[in-house]
Amino acid sequence: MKCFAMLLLWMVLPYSALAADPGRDAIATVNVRVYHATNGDPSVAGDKAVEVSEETVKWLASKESLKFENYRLLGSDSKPLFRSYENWAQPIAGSDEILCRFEVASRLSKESVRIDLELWLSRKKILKSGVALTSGKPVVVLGPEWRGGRMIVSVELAPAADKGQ
Amino acid sequence: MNTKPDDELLALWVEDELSGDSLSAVDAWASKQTEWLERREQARSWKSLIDGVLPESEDVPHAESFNARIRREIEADPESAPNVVPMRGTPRWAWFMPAAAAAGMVFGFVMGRGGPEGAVKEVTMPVAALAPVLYTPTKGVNAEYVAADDATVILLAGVDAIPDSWEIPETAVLEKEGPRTVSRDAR
Repeated sequence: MKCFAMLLLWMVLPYSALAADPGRDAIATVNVRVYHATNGDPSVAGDKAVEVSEETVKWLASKESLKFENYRLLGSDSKPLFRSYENWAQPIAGSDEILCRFEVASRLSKESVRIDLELWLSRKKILKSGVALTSGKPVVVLGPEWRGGRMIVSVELAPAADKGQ
Repeated sequence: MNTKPDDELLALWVEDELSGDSLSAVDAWASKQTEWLERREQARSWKSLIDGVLPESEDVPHAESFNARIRREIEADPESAPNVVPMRGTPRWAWFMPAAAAAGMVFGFVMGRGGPEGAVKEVTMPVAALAPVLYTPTKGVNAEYVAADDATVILLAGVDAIPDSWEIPETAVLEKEGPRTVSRDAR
């Protein structure tokens, strides 16, 4: 019996010490998209910009303050939302012109969290906010001007992908 | 004895502390030394004077310590004696203690992880707490919240425009726009 107890200790103690940090569990995924909205020629966004689906056009245009004639997708990024660590999204890959920092503040429900969300433009923190982010109800920020239009940053909550990303 | 004794012997002789051969030797030498005889007489008179003034020394009565007295009182009263159970060696179940400690550590660790995803405790927030809190650290920039059914819209004003010369970098690989998450209300 004594040997069994010692064996149990040898098995348990290393497990307790080396177990994975639960704070790094991904509880959801955050999708960040950057759109260019303009009432002029949408091609000014460049040939790398992507056309936007009809559904997204309707969704954006249904808000008076976000209503433009044309929309183009400039970039997107998906990053895990960690249980207790911050994370960054870089929607324009290879450029730090637009960055998003986010961190869970509290868990409101299975499909809703309150997060600390920051928007960085040109390596400067422009907006710091505490917002409720719900699946299907993104946070949309009407951002800076660019080439006669406005940048629109959408931050959306999606189910977690594989844990530990 | 014709030679003068050493100082140590003379000091003892003056104090009448010598005896035996030493005493007779110094007496033989000092019998002709009036100065030393006077010194011894003075010492004797001083000693008799001091003995007359100071009280006779007495032995200090035994100071019984506090603990010793308590111990004696306990021993005198058999009813107050502690009921000491003799040790029979290590109990057989002593091995269970480290095992129980290990099990407790595992239990605490598992509970501390928060359990599976579905067991996450949800926080019920008042509606007012769901309104966004906005802060614009850059001078001249303002943020305004506009409520919508299917989005939280934040309007920024006063932000420096991104230079028209800025281009989407070559490293940015854009694919066709992916599907948006649909809210439960719209399903």
